[in-house]
Amino acid sequence: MADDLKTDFKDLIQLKKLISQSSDYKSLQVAAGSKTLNICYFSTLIDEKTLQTNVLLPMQNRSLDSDLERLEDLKNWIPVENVEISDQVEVLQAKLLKGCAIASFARDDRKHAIIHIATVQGVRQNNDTENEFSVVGPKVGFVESLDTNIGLLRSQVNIPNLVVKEILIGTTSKTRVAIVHIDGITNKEYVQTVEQRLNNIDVDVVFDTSQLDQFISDNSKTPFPLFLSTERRDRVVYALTQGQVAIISDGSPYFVTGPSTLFDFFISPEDYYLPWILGSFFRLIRIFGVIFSLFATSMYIAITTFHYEVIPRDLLEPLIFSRRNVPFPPLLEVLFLEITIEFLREAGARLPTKIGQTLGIVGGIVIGQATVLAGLTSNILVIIVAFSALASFATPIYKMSNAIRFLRFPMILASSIWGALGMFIGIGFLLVHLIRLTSLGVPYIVPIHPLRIRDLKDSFIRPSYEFINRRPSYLRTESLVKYKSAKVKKQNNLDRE
Amino acid sequence: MNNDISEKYKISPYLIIFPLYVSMVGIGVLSYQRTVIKHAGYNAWISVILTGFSIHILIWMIYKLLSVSEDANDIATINKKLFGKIVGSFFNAAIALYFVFGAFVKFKVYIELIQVWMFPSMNFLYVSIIILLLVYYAVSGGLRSVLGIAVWATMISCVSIIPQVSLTFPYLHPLNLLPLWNHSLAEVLLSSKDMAFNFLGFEILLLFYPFVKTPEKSQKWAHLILFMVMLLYLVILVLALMFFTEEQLRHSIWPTLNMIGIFEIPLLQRLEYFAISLWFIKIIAGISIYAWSACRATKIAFRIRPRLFLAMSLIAITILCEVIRDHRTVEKLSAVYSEVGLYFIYVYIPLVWIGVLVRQRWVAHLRGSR
Repeated sequence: MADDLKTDFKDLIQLKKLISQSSDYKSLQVAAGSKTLNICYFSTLIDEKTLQTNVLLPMQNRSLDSDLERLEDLKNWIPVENVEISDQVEVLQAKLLKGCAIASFARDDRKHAIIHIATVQGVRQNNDTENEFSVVGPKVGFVESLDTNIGLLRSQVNIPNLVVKEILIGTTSKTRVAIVHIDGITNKEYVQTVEQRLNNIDVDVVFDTSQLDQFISDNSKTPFPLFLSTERRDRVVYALTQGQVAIISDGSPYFVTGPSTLFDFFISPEDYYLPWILGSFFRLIRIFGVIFSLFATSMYIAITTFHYEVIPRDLLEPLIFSRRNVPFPPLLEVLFLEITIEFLREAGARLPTKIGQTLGIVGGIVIGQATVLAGLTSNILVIIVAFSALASFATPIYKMSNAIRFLRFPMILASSIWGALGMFIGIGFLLVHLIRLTSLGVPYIVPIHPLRIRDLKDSFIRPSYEFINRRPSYLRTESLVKYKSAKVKKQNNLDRE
Repeated sequence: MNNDISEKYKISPYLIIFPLYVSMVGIGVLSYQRTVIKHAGYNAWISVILTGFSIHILIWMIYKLLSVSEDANDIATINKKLFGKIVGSFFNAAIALYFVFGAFVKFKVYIELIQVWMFPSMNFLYVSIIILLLVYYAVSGGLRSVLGIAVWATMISCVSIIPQVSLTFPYLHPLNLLPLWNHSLAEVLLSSKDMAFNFLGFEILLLFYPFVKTPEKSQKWAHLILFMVMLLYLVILVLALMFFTEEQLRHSIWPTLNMIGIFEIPLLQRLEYFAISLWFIKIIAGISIYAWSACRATKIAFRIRPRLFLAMSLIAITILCEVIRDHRTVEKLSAVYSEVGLYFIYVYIPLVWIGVLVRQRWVAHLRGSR
């Protein structure tokens, strides 16, 4: 018994014997003048209508008056652009499985013509950005087909510098993976690193780009996403023009862009579509939301368990009043509610949209109300937990909000053991961890450490377009200036008045 | 032996302010007022300025002695060149131990602070293990992560100082400062000596220096941050002088915390609990920088693997923390550290400075005579 699955065949007969077991494998004989041509294909992978009209019908017509001498002449016989000749078994196998028909004179002839008539099926037509919704701005997202996605990308990056490099990954799936960057902007080092890491991947099936993201990340022992994955076209284009590399695998609607920094995850494309004052405000709200959702419940635990002195007397009274009937220590109380929220979220994500919403509302209100009435938790805690859950969903990137929700739990544990000190021990670990993380060699929290004051302006706030006309320096891009100036010269009559 | 540091690991000159700030402003800032006014009373603010100036001179000396020769720009190499292999190694070991000891004192004093203010009856073994694990995690990440935590600590501390100063204003009695001069010069100088302990930590420059890109440019930053630190000590001292009466101040161990304890903001009061916890980040940064310096010194001098030395010294700190429990011993150790530190900065550094200069002349003379 061999350990590895044997997938590459050197022997044509063996290959044909194996694939002829499948019921969707078809083999036809077509008259080509005096000779007959053997055409084999997987009926599920090719467009049979094209085969009929573009291959079989023309051949029938031509074979009435002439002979097909050589396979190379097939190109002139049929109105199919892409016809190749090959006698390599590996190539034939790959092409056959990618949706080509192969034709040869004799059944065992090594020399085959490869006719490209692949069809794309099972791709959804709807390419709305369902998971990264924005009110303002385009709602164009990606679908599960690589070619469509690259096409979508090209239609917005209208320069020849957009370089798409494809490689095959996956011993079983042989998935096409595209590495996209803009030549002249992106630092070549990142492209090379990504390519080298992708080439080193040994995996059987690539289902989604996020899988690759984990294989090529600098550090796999972290809850933080080290690459940003998005299904929004504007995000990918923005990342590319900033000087990042984008990766996508066939069959996945998600692009992965990198090197990314922590701040990239709190940027929403909407920030740039709204006036900069509003954009900055919303971004600050988002960052505050993250901090709040990380520390709110652990602070509640720290205060109610150890440091009730820090609560002023006016507030202490309602707090004690609401906790009066609760039989648990704050830790259990908090864990109970937090886990309820996690259940709701997890169930809501698995259920169909409409049921999910209903369940969320019913579950949230009914369970929340009932637990308070039953005296299992305090009113104030329900408010805090609901707020922090809400705040964690304000993060625009799903993976990041997952990481933040996860990190709440170690924080809760730490603060239940050592109070505020435990909370800060947790923060200490978090900070050191963040400092040590890198994404493609770029420090993860870059504008803060290493401190780059010029890049700091598009981190906490979103400044006006005049000030963000340069690419971030930490990406070490080949050209620094994005555009000269965003100031519009006001010369028309309206402005003069 | 090749101690060349790759360009990749070097830091920009201005970044030197972060490790310097963190190592100089330690736990002392919470309690130094009492020791400083012991001799000079309410004239102690003069002592702060005097000490600050002396430290400026020392920093100038450090930059001079490190930049003199190109092949020896950290203290461990200089020691070997200056004092020969055996004596030099002895000095290097002493310096490494000094830094480990400094980390221990920082840590132990902080743990004591927690014990007094927050958790009087807690077993601190687990906390110290966890905290030192965090230090290990930070220091094993190399200079970049040590520096990173220093940057965060500096930011946190800067953010916390502003409300601290502004919230005290309603409680101040500026007339406390008068009369401006009622102590002898000797008393003021004695207070200056006590104050010097709080500036200890800038010695890390002796080991950080080669890691700075164009180190000469960092000198102005070092002086700047020293000036800021002096200003900080001055402001906090003057605030405390105006806040407390002299007798009160003589009897309060942690005046800064007592001050913070008065403040009330909406939703929260007794902010010293958070101040102490917030201080944790700074303590971690300080300990990490000291531990890093010790590791660096032993790496250059004895080629001990930094991680090994780090682990050993952290284990030693944990054990010492467990063994030493009573406050008097901690005070004594802290006094010993401060005494050693004083000799280190006021005797050893000038000595090395003179030694380096003499050696340079001598080498030049030898070359000239040939």
